[in-house]
Amino acid sequence: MRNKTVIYALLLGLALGAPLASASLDATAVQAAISAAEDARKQAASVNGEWRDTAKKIKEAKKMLAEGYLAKAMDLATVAEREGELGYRQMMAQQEFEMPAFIKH
Amino acid sequence: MSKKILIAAALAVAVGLPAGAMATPEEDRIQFRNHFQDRFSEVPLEEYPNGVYAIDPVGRENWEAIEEFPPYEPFIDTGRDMWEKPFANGKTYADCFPDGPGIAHKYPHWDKDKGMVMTLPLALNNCREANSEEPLKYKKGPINDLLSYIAFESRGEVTNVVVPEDDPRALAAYEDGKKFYYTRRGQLNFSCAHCHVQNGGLVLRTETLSPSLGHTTHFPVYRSKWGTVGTLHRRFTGCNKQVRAKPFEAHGEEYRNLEYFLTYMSNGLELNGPGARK
Repeated sequence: MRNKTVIYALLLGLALGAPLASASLDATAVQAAISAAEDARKQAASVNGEWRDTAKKIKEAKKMLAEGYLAKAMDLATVAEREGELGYRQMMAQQEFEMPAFIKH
Repeated sequence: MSKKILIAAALAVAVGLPAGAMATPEEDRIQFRNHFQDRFSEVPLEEYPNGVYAIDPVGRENWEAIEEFPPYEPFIDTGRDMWEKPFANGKTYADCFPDGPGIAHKYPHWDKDKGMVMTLPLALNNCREANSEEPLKYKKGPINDLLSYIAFESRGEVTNVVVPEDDPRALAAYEDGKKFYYTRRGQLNFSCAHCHVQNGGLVLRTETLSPSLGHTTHFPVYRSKWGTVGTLHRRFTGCNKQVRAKPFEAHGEEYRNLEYFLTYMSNGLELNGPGARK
């Protein structure tokens, strides 16, 4: 009985909390995240390190923003920004060429 | 005194550089070949132009059956027609390539005047543009017909890429291609070499990874997956996408230099294009 009450309370909390969390996002913040993602993508591209789907994610984030799905747009922009950062770091870490050890001869 | 300092500095630089960065193209090629001959000691060198079918006996049986009625044959015929059909100005490809059509073994080569690696598809489009024709797309479509015909007519020629010593830009292009080949890229963090040098012969899902040695000898290739013939740079694009990296422009500098390095690694191997692959 007590367990059931706790579960109901949790579900109610989630149901109420989710829209509140979403509502706390505004379009300006999402737009800023998309711009940051685009900057990160460009930085990766400048060293030939852009990943395959980063631009697609940014495009999708813009579409989600235009349709009012702010949380989804923010998620996509955040992932795309991280991809851009990692793509850049990946290439910068390999600026100095080294023959891999698996070629033994 | 200053001489001693110079010698010491040169020694320090030499010791500090990784071995691969100091190797000449020929040293690279011998190392590359030895790697495969050690890894697949039972495979004769002349088998490598057959790609994965040099090391995959089951796949080879299927491939040999396919080769009885080669799916690339219609493309060769269409390519022959293209080669012989005059441009609007009355000239033909033969005016640009008097040694043609069997010219595949002359590419890629270092073009000293242009200061860049010249690939065969790029040279074909240069010819078209010089004769006021629209260039062909580099990955799909009619260029594959023309390349199939040229590859067929070049069968039996031997890969012989030269990195001329009198132009340091050629060596720089070769080194760029080499670096590209060994650089991890994309979300999966793989280099070309991880699949085709380190893990060649292992199975990835249902497919055996082909050895890199001989990779360039049989293009263009009819891939069952594509349902048509495609170019080497289309394959480069596909490989980059598979590791989730953004691919580069076909016959842009990155892929041209990559082709220069990769073809050099197959120097001495016979051309046997067009090929058929899964």
